[in-house]
Amino acid sequence: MPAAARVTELLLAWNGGDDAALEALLPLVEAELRRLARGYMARERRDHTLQTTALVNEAYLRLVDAQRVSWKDRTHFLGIAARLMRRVLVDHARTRAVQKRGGDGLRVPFDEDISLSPAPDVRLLELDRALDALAAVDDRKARVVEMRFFGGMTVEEAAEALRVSGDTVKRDWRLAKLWLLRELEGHRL
Amino acid sequence: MRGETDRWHQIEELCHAALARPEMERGALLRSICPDDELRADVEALIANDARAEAFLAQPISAIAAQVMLECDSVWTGRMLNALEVGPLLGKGGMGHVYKARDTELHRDVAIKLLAPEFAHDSDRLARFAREARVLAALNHPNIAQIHGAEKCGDTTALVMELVEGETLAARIGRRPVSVNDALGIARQVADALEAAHDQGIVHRDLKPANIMVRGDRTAKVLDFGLAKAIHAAADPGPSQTSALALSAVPGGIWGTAAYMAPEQIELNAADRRVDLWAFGCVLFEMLTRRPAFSGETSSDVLVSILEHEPRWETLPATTPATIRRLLDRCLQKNPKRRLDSAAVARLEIDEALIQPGSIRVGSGDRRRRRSMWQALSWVTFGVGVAMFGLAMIAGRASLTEAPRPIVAASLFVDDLSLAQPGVHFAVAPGGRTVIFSGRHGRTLVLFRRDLDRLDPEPIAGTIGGSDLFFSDDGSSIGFEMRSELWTARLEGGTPQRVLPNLPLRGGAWGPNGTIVIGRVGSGLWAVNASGGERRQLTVPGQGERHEMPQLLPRGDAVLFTMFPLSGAPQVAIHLIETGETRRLFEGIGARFLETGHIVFGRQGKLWAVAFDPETLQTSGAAQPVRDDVVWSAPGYPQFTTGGNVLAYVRRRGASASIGKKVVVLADRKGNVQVLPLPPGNYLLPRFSPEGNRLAIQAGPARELWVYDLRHGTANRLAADRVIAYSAPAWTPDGRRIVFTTWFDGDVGLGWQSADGSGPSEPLLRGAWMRSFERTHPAVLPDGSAVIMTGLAPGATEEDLLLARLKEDRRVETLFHGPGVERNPAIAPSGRLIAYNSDESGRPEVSVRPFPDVAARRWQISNGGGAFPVWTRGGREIVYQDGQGRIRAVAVRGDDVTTFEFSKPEPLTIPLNQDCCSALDRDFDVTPAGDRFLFLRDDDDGADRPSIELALIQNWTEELKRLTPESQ
Repeated sequence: MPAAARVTELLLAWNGGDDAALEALLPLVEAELRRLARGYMARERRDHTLQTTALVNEAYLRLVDAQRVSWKDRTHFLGIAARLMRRVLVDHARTRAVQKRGGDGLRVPFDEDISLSPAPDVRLLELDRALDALAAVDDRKARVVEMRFFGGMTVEEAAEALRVSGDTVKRDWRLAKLWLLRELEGHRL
Repeated sequence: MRGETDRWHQIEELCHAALARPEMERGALLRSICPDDELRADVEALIANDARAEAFLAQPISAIAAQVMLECDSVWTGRMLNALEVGPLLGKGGMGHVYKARDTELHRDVAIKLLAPEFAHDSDRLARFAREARVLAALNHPNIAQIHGAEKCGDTTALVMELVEGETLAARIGRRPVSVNDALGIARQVADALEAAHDQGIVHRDLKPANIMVRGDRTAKVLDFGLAKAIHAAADPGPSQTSALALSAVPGGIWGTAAYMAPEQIELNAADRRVDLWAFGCVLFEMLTRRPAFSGETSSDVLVSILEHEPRWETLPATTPATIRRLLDRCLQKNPKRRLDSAAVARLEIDEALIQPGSIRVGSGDRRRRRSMWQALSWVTFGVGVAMFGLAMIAGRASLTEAPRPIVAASLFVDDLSLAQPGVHFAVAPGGRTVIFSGRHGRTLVLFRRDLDRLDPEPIAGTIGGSDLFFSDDGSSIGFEMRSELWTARLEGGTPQRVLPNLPLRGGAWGPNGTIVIGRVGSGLWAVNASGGERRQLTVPGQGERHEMPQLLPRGDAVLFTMFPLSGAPQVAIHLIETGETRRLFEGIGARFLETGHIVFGRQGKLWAVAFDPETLQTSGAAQPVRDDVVWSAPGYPQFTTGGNVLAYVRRRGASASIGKKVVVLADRKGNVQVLPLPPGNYLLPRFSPEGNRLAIQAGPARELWVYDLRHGTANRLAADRVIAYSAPAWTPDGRRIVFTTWFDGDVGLGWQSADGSGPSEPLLRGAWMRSFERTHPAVLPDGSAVIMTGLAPGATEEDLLLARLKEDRRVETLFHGPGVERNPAIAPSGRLIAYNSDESGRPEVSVRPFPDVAARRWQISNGGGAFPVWTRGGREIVYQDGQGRIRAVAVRGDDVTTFEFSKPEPLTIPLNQDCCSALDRDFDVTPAGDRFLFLRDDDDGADRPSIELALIQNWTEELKRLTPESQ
């Protein structure tokens, strides 16, 4: 079965109250992320400077069967998928970090800029923790980050999913990033 | 909590207020609106990050996923990988991380490149990668970083390479200017490396300063040879069933680094070794000027610069020798066909510049010194420029004490050369100066002439459809087949002359006194005179035998030729004209006699030589293999010939041993592909049975007919009396018999054979109306009463559609005498319409006519070119191949003059992957239901198809003498 149809089916099932459906979604999301990653690597090799954000939209087209999901539900599901992507990625990063350092939590020094390149797994775990902290202060902002960053959702999509205006999402996004930067800085000291 | 939330909202408002102002005013603003120091400090701490916020979290999630889920474990230092003790990280690349390591078994330091663990999950990709690695490991050259092999440990695959200490050329260029002399010294080594790799068919594809290491002793070593391709080959996305599609969409793939990419790489055209010559030019230019030859602010600017702009030639140092300027110009030609295609030539040019220390003197009018190595090379080729040759030998790496190596005198790219037809369709003039070949020109074949001192082949006027060409003994003229007739043409020009009509041939030879000997398809060797008139049959083949590809021995009294017997392997045979005696010599195809006293021939995938005395007609000593990189065409002919003592052959490139062989592939309309479990072979003309569950197919080189049962996976040769089908097989509507044109007792004709192989094949009709026995395209009417076919109507000069009646009085009638060449008839299941292709508009297009009243109406189904119509879906659809080689489908309705209607042609996603341009032979088929497609694909793992390379080898007679000393 095409991944989109399967994912949509599970999302609908989960929406209808079937909690097991969410667990069943994880491997599909994981497969999709792997595909994205491979696609990214393939393009990356060809040209290191070209940005490939378009890939994420591709992923959503594949993940969710647009014909069976109404526009309103669609953004809702995108939000869920964003959360699932976050969870899969963070799980991976955690496993790798543990493997690498025998679970002692030894920190790898960061590069100057806040990119995820030097020790991506550790940085991703840091980001995950910081996002949790942000959620404790302002849940909506954390969700905006989740949707925009992990889910590749547009401002409009996030606004739709959160039932706020696009301007609000933009303001949230900007401030959330400032907050996270400060939070991650703080860890660095 | 409430208080905290409020405080946070306050902070938020203050932040937004501050952020709305220019950065310089923010502090003042905050101080004025926020008296609370603590609160203000919080706000300031947040907005302090504003400058970095833009780039923060801007990475696409796919990049994160790639890092977290795919990236090779980056902390390997200190661990063991089999016998390798991993040392410090040396660098990171797109393909993996590179570490220094100690091989504790061989006690040497190596570099290892760790590949992403995802490789390990796909055994297919890993196997392909391992195979590529083995090929690369065979590449052993002082200027190439050696690949030692691949190690696998758990999920990790490591490529083990020679450790090269030193700095990259990129770093070297960045550090301080490179003198012209140093630049040439490095470039010369790089050219040498490229030459060695290209000789092995390995293309770098990602040559750049960062991939060239320069050691302290100025030795240059090229890194990562062929890795771009190896990784590419191993990294096709998704499961294998989609790879054919993916590959057909990306013939060359972009795998280089933008600034050093050749235009054809950017445009995703097939890339061959000429991309390395381009990159070589870029690297040399950069060494000399310290600036990339093509650059720009963004990568798209770089690409535009590569595609459209010239390098800034004026930035070259004034001391750059003229030969080097010329070399750069040749390397940086945007059209690969105009680009220098030989690293050897680049090396020679550099050598010439290097041994002229007074390079500034260049341009002083010393004509001898100004002569380009291009000319010098052609002098070497023709054995005239002895002085220049000595120069090349001294400057080159060959030393005088070494045994003379055969010199690839020239290596041409003849992309249009026809390899799909039986036989060999190129010839070299005695002396090797001119090559003539039959190649594609648009959708037809034409003869091309390529002189070695000119870049582009030129079509020869008046030779459309020409093939099976051969030179006269003095090299002034050629003979060839055109429209199944024997023609001659003078090389100086003039209108080609028809020698004899109705003489389809497979190879010919033109001896002294104007005697031409040809292998006449279906009836042995014939001798004719170049001025026409008399013709005489020399050999009468036995039942089912074919006599092809004759060559006259020097005295003109004996003919060397290839005999394809009824059973068993092809034989090299000799016919004595005086006595009429014919002797079989030994197994082999395409034998050519060389004046050194050797016969060169193909046998079992290789080229062999054996000493042969033309007086006694005896061989001596054992045959020795002399070349194993000769391509065998799909119909089973080794692609080589000789001209004087020059050997010319189509060179197999890369490591695949099965180039030229085909696999039979089934595809559905979704593009799902399944390779049938038939061994790779020289298959031709597959045709589904009426039920779509069996297929008839020709298998070369003997052109036997096989029937493969798709349900049971069994293949049966129709063996009763060794069917040799010249035409495509056509099933009778009841699926019990297969109709084809073949050979009967010295004549050709239409016959049939039971599809289960029982009983003999029976002749149905014989006749001279068959001009080209191989392209009769028979189609049986639904009631089995007649066969529609392509043929020559009485008095016609071009093919028309004929009707062969099988009932009562068997006879052939002209069905339709059209203004162009009509071919490939297909009858609708109703029997009331026929589809065919005709070139009356100038190019082949598919048309439909009512049947039998063909004159009543014509509907043109295709536009933009089309051929090979097939009726499917019970006559509700016609499938054909369009001018670009794609499969298209047209829905049709109605079955007579008044009711017939058809839709616009729609392309289907069938990954058909074949030469599309001949409009002669349909090498695909569709089930009557229209659900499954059958076609042939090169058995090369879908590797991208390089240009066809024709290698001309000059002094290889020395090698022959060494290999087969009995001749001395």
